[in-house]
Amino acid sequence: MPVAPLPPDQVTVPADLGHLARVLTMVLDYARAAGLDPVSAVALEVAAEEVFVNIVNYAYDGGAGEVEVICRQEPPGFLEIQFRDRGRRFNPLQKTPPATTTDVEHRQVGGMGIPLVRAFADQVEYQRRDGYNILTLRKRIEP
Amino acid sequence: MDISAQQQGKLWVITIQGRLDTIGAPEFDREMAQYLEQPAEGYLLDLSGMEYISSAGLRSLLVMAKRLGNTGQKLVLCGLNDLVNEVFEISGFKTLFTICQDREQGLAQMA
Repeated sequence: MPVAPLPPDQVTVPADLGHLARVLTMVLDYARAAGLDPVSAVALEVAAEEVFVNIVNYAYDGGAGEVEVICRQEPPGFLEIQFRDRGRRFNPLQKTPPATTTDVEHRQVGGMGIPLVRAFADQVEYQRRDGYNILTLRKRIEP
Repeated sequence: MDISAQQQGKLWVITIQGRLDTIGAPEFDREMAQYLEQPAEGYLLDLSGMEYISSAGLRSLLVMAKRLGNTGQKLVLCGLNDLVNEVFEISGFKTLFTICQDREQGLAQMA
């Protein structure tokens, strides 16, 4: 566990899948540097993928636009990953997740992205401000 | 992501290595479609080399499971690592699929 908090890290990329790896590498590296255990760090990487892919698919209606991803160790004891885009108002948390108890034949395809985000982050928050969608994930870092 | 397959009697053992994520899922779908065209009593997916899965990967696996369910062919997964196991738990996929520890158990399950 590092003594002093890490400085923030961030990247601004076009909202397309070609830049997914860049975003996930930053998130994983930051999570590990902040002291998150290996499985939790990869789980957070999955959460980041789900958020980023949602933005790619929906925020700019599939068109061009940018996404800013910021990693911070804030508030103390927490890791924060924030996604900001200037696309249309889009709150990915509003979608109803599919039922998880049905059998293969009746199980709905898709829709598991946000449930994974909610499971792998301790806090998930959406805001719309100044023309931006802002999605924030927070993960507690155990001492 | 690398996919390889070997026939074992009337079964196919398919080995997935790498990441089954948004980028890898379309390739997985394409390759599986080819293997599903072969006659087989069932498929054992060896996921011991699959280090990462996201919802795109879950989707691909479910689509495959639905297809095999329709034709009455067996599907067993084995070798899930900690992360993959957690993803399966959260999504309810643990109860949707037959999951074994390793290849040996998987093959025994399908016998």
